[in-house]
Amino acid sequence: MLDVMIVDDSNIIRRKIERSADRQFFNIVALARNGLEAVDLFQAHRPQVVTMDLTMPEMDGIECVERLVKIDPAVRILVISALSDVETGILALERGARGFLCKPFDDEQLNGALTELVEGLHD
Amino acid sequence: MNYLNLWEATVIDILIGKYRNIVVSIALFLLLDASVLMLNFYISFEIADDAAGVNLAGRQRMLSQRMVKSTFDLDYALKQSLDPAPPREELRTTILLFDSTLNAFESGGNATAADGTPIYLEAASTPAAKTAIADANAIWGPYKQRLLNVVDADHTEMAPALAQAILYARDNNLTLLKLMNDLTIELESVASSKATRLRWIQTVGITLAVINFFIILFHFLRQLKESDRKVEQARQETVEILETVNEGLFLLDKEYVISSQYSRALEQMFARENLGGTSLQALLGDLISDKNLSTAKRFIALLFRDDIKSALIGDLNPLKQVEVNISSEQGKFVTKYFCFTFERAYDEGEIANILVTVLDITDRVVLERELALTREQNERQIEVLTSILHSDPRALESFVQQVFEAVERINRILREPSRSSVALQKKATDIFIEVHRIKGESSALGLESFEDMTHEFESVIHTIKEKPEPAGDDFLPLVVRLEKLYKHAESVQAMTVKLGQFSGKRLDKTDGAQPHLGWAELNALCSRIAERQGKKVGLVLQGALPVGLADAHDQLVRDFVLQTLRNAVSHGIERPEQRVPLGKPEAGRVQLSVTQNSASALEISVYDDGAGIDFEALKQKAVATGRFSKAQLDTWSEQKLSALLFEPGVTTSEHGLDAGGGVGLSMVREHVKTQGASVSIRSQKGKGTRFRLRLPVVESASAATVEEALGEALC
Repeated sequence: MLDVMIVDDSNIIRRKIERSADRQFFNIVALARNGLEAVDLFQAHRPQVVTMDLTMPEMDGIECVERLVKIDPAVRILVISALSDVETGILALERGARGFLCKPFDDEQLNGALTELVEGLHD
Repeated sequence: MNYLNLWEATVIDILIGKYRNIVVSIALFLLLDASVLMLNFYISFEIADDAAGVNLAGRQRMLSQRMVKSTFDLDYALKQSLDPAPPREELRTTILLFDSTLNAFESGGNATAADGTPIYLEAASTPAAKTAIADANAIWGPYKQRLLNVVDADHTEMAPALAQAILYARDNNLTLLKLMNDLTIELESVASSKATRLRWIQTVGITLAVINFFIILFHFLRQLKESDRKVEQARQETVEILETVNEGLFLLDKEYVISSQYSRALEQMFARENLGGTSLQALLGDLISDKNLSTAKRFIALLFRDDIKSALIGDLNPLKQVEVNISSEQGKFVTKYFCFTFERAYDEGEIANILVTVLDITDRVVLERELALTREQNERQIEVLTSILHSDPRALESFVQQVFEAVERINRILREPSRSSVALQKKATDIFIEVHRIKGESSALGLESFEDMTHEFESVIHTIKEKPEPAGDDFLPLVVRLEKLYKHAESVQAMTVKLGQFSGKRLDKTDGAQPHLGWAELNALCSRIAERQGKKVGLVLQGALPVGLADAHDQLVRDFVLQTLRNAVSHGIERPEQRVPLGKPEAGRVQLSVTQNSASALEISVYDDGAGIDFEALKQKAVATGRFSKAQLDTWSEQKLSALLFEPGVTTSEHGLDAGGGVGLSMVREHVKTQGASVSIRSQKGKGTRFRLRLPVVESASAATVEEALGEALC
């Protein structure tokens, strides 16, 4: 089982990810509504996997990715965002995220991406 | 650990793999060489020893004769009474040397070399040598005794001992010399046979080495040829693939340099040659924007990072669909759509290159666009069909005519030369009025396609009007819009005719008369506007709209009614949630009254029970046009202020589908001025607004009939 934190300002998306993630492999340990919350919860729970929205209030996804990677360089971050801005997605990966999933997504796409993301990671 | 395994694997690979023969041959070669060298060494040492033996045997021959010579020298010295000591000492030394050497030959041991150093001799082993030594010993034993008697004797005994020794020497000396000679010859022949053996060994060894060398060479060359052939075959296959695939294929390295091998299709697609070794920049630099290129480079850089999952970043590929303009052979530019895909290419587990595949997806994109366009056209046609089926065919025909005429007028306006920005501003306003009128009419007839089209048209003019210094070029996009509008009107006309034929109705050729505006059409207009704005409205018609007016008057009445009704619903009537707290019914009431005061005067009024005019907002807007000052307006009465609504550019609302951005009412005023009519506004804040039009009636050929009608409906 791998611990997962979900970061998204939309309640609906948070719920969707939480519901869709395969419980056989992923254990949702924290839900964050913005970057600041995410950093706090990350320090408290130390999840190995994080799903990250990019546009959020308080602290955006890019900065949040940077902060989380600084705390734990091994963290696997999957950016989940709309494709409106490819450049921001690339920037997030340049700052340390490991993958990108485009909104909207279905259960299969989410679990496929998460499985790919954690490949080679042992709990 | 891994490296060790790898090393072991490599060694095993070499031993049992394709290099086995070469390795075995080389090992044999080395073994053979080493054996030959060792034998050579061994025999050379033996030959060196044998040479020493031959030398010493030869010396024995000489010593046997020196002993004889010394005895004679001694005899001479005695007879001549010379000093006998030197010959006696020479004899002694010779005896000892001969004796020790003969002993060494017989049973092995040290002898003394010519330079006095000891030298080890192996005991002679061949039978001939042994016989010679044994025979020599048999002679030497008594001979040595006699000679020792001579050298050990004192002066008086020396002569008789010497005589005995000379006697013995005379009998045996030659035999001893012969035996020593035999020994020498025998030793020489042994050494010679060893040298012959050595030559044989060397010859055979070298021959074998040469044969081995040729075997290795043969194997090596054959293998080299074989691997060359395979490499060539692989290269040939790659070339064939690259020559024939339809996709653009190439490898990119970390510096974004294109590989030397790439597909021919790449050259054809990009109409360029010699791409190998050039950069991605050279390939795409003048086809896509710098920003796009830099994004693509950043994306590729991500692919070179092995901590990022390539399967998870495909969505970020900025070159998934790129529009490029490629110069064709005729020198023209052709627009194409390319799809780039990127795959990692590994070398020994590391990301060495990125394999780029370029697909020409122009056909697909064009087809998709055509499909979308067709869908849009179909939707529009269905919508037009629906509106046609719901409209009076005569009204529709007349509307289409109106559009044609308006397009003609707009064309004329566009052609007029106008240099100053004021003239251009006026041009924009004039076109806007024309377009706005069509919008009003289409709205009244429920022709949404025309409404949307004219609304977009208005937006474009709006942006021109907003510019402080409009230029002639700004009007170019209008030509396209105008043509679109004209084409659409044409298609509607064609459809109307077809439908007429289909339904068996024959449309009478219209004489340009405007479509009839009755309660149903006007009520529908009000409901549509209200619905769009989330309002509820009921239209009450008192009296009937006049028919048979002269054309100019007819247009004025229509413009006035349409504009003021739109105005009433969109600006006057509040939304239900605003009305209810004010104690008003949810649905607003709009009343259109038509009265004929006398035979020659017609009065039309449009009243709404809405919010009334916001005079403060109106003043601000008027000031914003720059034609009025705040101080000036503050002195005006509400009555006078409300006249501002007829000023071009003054409106209390933003430009939207249901408002004219301050043009609609000014358009009415223009007509009022020229028709000898008058228009007035009365508004009370919170209560409502009334627009009134009075005009002298000049009847057209047909008699005016006033259709009494009274209707009220909730929409």
